[in-house]
Amino acid sequence: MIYGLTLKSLWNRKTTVLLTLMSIALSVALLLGVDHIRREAKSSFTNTISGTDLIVGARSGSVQLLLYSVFRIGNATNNIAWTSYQDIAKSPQVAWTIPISLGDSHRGYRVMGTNQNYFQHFRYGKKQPLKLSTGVPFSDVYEAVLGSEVAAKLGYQLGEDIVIAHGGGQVSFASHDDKPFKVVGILEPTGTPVDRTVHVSLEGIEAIHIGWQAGRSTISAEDALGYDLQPEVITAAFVGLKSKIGVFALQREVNQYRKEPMLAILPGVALQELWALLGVAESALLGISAFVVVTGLLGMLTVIWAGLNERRREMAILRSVGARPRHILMLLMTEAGLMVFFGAGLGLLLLLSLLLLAQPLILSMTGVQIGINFLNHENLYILGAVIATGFTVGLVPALKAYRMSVADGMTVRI
Amino acid sequence: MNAGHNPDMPELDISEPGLPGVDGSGALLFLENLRYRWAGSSKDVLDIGRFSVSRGERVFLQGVSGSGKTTLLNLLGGVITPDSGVVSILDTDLTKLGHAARDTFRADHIGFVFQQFNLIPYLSLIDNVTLPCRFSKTRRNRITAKGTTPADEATRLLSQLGLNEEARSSRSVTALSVGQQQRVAVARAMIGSPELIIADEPTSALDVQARFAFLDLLFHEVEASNATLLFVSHDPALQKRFERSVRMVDINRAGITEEA
Amino acid sequence: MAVLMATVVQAEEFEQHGAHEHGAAKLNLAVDGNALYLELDSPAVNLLGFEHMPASEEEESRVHQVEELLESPLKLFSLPAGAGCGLQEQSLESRLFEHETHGEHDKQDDEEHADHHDHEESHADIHASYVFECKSAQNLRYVELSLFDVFPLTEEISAQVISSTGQFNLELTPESKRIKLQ
Repeated sequence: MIYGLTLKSLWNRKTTVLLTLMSIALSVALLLGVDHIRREAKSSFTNTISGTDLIVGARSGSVQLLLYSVFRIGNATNNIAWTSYQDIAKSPQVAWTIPISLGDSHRGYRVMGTNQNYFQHFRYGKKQPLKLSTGVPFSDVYEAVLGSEVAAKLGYQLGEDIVIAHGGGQVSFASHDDKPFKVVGILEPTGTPVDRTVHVSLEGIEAIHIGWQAGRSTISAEDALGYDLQPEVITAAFVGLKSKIGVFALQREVNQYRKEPMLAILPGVALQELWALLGVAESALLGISAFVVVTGLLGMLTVIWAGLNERRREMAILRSVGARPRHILMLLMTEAGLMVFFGAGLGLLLLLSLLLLAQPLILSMTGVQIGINFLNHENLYILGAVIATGFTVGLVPALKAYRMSVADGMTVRI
Repeated sequence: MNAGHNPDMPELDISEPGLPGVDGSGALLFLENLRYRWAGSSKDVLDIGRFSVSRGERVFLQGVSGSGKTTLLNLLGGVITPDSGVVSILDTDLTKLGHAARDTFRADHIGFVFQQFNLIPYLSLIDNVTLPCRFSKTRRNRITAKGTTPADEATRLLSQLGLNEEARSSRSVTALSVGQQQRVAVARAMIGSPELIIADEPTSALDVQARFAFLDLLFHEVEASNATLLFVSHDPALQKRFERSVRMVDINRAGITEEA
Repeated sequence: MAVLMATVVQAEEFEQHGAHEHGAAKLNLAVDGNALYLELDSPAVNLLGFEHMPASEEEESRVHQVEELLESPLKLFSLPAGAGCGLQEQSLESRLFEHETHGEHDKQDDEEHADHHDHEESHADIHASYVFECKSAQNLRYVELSLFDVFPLTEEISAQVISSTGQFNLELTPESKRIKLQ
């Protein structure tokens, strides 16, 4: 019976209530959004590599090696020698290796030199292999296989020639334009940095750097083929072992390698180290968002509290027609509860529409696939906590109104 | 002061011929040895030896502000309980009831009309009038027993009180004139036919002509529903319209006020 | 990202000096099929109470005692009974144990040891590794480190784990000593 009154009472103050709803909605959307994107980024990162037991690179930090080898973020400070790589590859415990060579780019997209093993052994997500949507893996020196996004964004078809630039910049003046690569294959989308990578053979990378001096090449594409295109160095290698049991031994072997300083990392463990690093920023963001929610709820408290005095007469009238102080308490609690509830609901809608809008943008800018479904268990708990906090906050003015209505009775003494 | 109250002192004879006996049987409203003082105060604000109103009576209670009438109204409504004495309405001693029962009793049996700003601004006319039905099942049942609904009953009462279609369809009660608002308040007090109507300065915001017109309407409604009326006002000009007139200073021995 | 990179990049020397923190140890665990591999790296002091070569008879017998404990890994690692795990191989390495021969020492390891003596005269590490064969590996839901009870000087173990659920690391303490594998 009191609920009909609540809605009408709220409607009577619709501007204030709407503003309060908006501030609650925004804060809830922010909190859930930050949490959702954090989770999605994590799962997107986790899905980027799978089935690789060790990543081997030059001695640096394990997170750095992970970032440049798997996520194409940052650059390697050093390379490893081809001979060292061969030593690892020949180790009896090793099932397969994928050598990679980074450092060049094509119109802002990273170019990665590798070999056939990449198409055969690389796995992402839940051990899914790479698939070509069209064409074939490269087999010739001047052939390239494009990630799905590279092809889609730049509008490349099979058979087109692309030019690789020296360095990783968006705009590069030093391009290997005398040695164009022919697109022979385009990969299916993976939702990982693979989509934003141009893949060529290690020999191709070697060929464009032969005779490379002061920003221009002195040896033609044809002539380059006559040279020994076996690379002397590579950036890193992904390693798969016959048995997981041998992983730690091989890791130790690589880390204690005598001929050059190398580092072997367990990608899963390095990811965890990355989370630990980002954890502080993550918690700070979540903390700030939580404070924004509290601010929104305090805004609601202020609005209800400030309206209490001018509503004393209303409460006295309600008392005179038979309302009990408990009814007054419930009236105000319900008002707060409804505001929090609808504010949170509005926040969910807001977040959903923002995600729908932002999803393609985030994907194309960062390669991180953000899912739309943010209502997991944790977020429902967060939502529940927000609503519970809202009720608790609503209790403050409600108790004040309760005491006022007990003191005032049916007549207001002001 | 308690010490100042001598039980042997002859009490003022405020009862009139034909009124109920000492035990209050037959009276709709009966007060005896009623005392109340505010918490922390050393002096009674109310000290009433005996006061009663019979069924169907229309009583004018004259009192200025500060004479204890606000306290008396809150006691009659069961919002507060006296320190001692009897507050009996419809043969129910309110002092024997708990908080909740007193609130329910008020909702079921008493209709209040106050000075002004009697209405809830965010409710429509009809919602304002039917408000008591939200809190009283008894009043709701009385309406349905007549074969009508609270909303229809509210419309009937409003038109009977001279609020025409135009006024009734007003979007906001605050757009009504003070006189119209007071008539809405009367309709709210009357809906569901409570036995006792208590009006507290309902005419003080009205001009002189309007006051008598309002009284006429009020009397008519009270009569139509066989209710009893306790009309509280400081305005002696109105008392001649009542069957009986009582002065607050005469029944309240606390005598706390210096009259204006 | 720039800030991140700055904190990540650490110039390390080629010659690696293993971290040696008293009270802390490292554990590697891998499960593949029916095989369970455990590898413990601990400062000797955590297990023995001292790190120098045994000087007294008392210390000598403590070394023996610890060796025996390390040779019965089921006292150090509690495995679910239903998994039916049996020890297949084990190896124990430390310069403190060098008076005896242990398992499959290969030549390179010995060289390494000789090499490291100069650096670690005051510190000694103990390296132990075990391979178990589990009849019902699907029941191998956890490994619990009872070695915290056996070697109370061990306060913290940082573990790297490879299980069917993937690779992860975790910090283990006497209060939280269970590694969940499924």
